[in-house]
Amino acid sequence: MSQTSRYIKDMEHGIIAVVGSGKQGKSCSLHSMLEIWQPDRPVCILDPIDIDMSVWPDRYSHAEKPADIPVGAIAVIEDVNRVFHSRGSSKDPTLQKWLGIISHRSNIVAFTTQCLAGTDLEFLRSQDTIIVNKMMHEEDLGFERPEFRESQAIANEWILAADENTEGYDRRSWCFFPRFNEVISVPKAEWWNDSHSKMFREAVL
Amino acid sequence: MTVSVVTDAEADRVLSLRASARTPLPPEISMMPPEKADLFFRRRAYYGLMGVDSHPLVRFLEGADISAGMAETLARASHLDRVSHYSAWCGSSSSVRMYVSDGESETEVREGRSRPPSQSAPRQQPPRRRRGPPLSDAGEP
Repeated sequence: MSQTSRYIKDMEHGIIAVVGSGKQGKSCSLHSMLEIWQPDRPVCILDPIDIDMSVWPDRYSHAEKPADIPVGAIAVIEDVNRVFHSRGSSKDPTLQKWLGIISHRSNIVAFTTQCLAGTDLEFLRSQDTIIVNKMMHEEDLGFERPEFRESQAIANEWILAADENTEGYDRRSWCFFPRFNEVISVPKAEWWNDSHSKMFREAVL
Repeated sequence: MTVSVVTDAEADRVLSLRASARTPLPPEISMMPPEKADLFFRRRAYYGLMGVDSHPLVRFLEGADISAGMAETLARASHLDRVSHYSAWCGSSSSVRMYVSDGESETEVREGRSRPPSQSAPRQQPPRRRRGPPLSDAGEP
């Protein structure tokens, strides 16, 4: 068993941050990881936009604000930079207050982002954070935070190496975990389809 | 045609990390000071030509040269990441472990090309990962 899976299976609270360029399988891998490593906890999609929850499994629900996240649930935020703007915590303390109590409420906050440079630092410095790297294009790598650029560059190389050294595994299934120095192919959840990967297709902004 | 490459210390560091993470270099290449590498490899070629490269004394002297060169390089190393990768190269495994998950369990990928169970015949051995440089067209390492 990998150190990564052992750690995430035992996670009671904390942050899981999935980083990578667009259409590299961030959301699919995130939900698939929750399916295999945290299968018993309720999952709450945190988003101010209305979402069709009928396409999601039974344990999924929707919340518009952090206060609505139940105790013990996993809060999933798609494209966290859209929901919580970078530096937004300096104007509005809601995020800080919420992250300050997720350990008390046994919440895991899992989010996807195309670049940590646009992500509020509160997510990265206030809790136990597991970063999951997907592929990031070279152009995007130049804009990434310097403290994460190295691990992302290494992640790119190992995802490519994993893709070259295996057959039959979608390159977008590979996830690099810099904390544990492991690259893992996470199988797609059986229920995942286009309606999940394009969940905001009909959204009204 | 002239090609100009502009880089800086930060870009150089990232590129060296990428290269060192991907390509495990043998210690005599990665750690030998440039000014000693020339003499080291000339001697090795000479001993090979004379047919004594596998003599215990020659191998002992080569080992001493490598150790002295690595010690000198490590003593003035500015990028400790190369050192941590070197310690992984000395061991039996690389610095990063590779796994494939089927949802129930994970299998470490070792040498060779690993396939999902649905696409392969019953496996006799655990999946293996190819290490080192790519195989030649002749299939020899």
